[in-house]
Amino acid sequence: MDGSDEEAIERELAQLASRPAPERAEFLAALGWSRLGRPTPGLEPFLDDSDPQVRIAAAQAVRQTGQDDKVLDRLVGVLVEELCGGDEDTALMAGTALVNMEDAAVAPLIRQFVDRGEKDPLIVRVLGEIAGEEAMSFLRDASRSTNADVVREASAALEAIEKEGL
Amino acid sequence: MGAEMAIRELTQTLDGDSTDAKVVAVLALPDDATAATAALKAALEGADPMLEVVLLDALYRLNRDPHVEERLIAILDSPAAQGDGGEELYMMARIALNRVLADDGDAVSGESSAVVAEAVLGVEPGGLVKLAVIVHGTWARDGAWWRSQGDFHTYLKAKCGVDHLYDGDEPFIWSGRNRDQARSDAADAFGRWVIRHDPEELEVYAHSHGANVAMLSTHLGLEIDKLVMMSPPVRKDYFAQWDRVGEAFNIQSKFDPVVGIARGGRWFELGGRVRELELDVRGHSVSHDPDVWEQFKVPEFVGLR
Repeated sequence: MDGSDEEAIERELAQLASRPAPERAEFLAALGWSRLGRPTPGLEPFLDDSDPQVRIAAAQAVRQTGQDDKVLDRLVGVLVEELCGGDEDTALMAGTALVNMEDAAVAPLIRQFVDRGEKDPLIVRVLGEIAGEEAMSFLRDASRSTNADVVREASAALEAIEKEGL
Repeated sequence: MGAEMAIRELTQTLDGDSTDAKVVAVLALPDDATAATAALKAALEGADPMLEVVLLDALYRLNRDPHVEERLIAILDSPAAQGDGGEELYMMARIALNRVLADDGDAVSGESSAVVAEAVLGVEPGGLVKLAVIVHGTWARDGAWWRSQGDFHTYLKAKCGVDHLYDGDEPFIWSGRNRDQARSDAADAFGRWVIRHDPEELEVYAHSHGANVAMLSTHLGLEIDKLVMMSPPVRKDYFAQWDRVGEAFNIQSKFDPVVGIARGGRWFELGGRVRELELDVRGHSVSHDPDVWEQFKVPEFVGLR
């Protein structure tokens, strides 16, 4: 993607806020699969959009721009809010975006799990789908939790991971 | 799975020791994987009879190789196929030979490709005339909508005339995990589940990645007469082996945020091979909402009314 493309994207983003939520989400979801490669300031306001699906699509798009750990923490925070508080479709959308982040999301997700009181089974589910060493270690601990929902998710994930030979 | 990927997988698998894995890899080859011909021919040497049949069948599918007919007849007549325990081998060879003879306008009989899968997957058939089944998608194994008494299940049965919809005690359930491997495992399990019921005719109503599970199962030999896909993330690596699918439908909402985030396309664009319908609503779950089906005349579109 060259400079002129990025300028065109910034121009689009400047006009995007006035469009209906489905259009905002669709544009940002598509942008999330492009190779932006460098910070795109016009994306940031959409992380606070009034529509949850727009916020999720924006988080995935920002992820493409290359960012430090602090930004990554914020993106994971945005996605976890929707994962744990959204309706069925929104939660699945947020979970998919988190799985797409792969290993980079693991440490921020574990922090979110702890900060939120170690009770959100969907965070455990996402960690089980990312798998990897750090996530596996978390899952083993979570399988001994006092929260039955957390134990169920962690145990199911560990069993699946073993079956899948990961 | 694309031809290139299938050939790569085949080459690796043929180097291994597992006959079952070799059989599955050969069955997964799409018909345009002609570049696999040399590897298939090399694998014939020393192959056990079951693998030999699958290899011959693939050589015919890929190249219409006329020499396979004679060898298949020899296998059919061999003690291995005619003797005790030779039933599976006999069925496999018979199906493969049927394919050859059908092209000559001289088919022997009409066994379904479920019989091939039955032989490959090694499960006992049940025997139904017609069966419809709902396949749920990612994160939906605990959902209610697809189960007996669930709203979509009830709607299909009561309002759309799908009275052959499965409502027994062991519905098909898969992990719903958001991973390729989970979907691949589910395709295998789905094949086994269907073969246990051994329907002559199979209809599948599949949501989201459940549609990809159903499509993958066709690479294991399953034949689906009607495949209704609701909001599938469309990916070429999950495409069905289309000669094992009768009618196929793709129903998508106008904007589906889940499919967008999952990096799936919404349309197959296969020149009418899959009939496609866009619903003027937003969302991922709306495509199995009975009210939406009524509003947009989906039953008529998929031939239920």
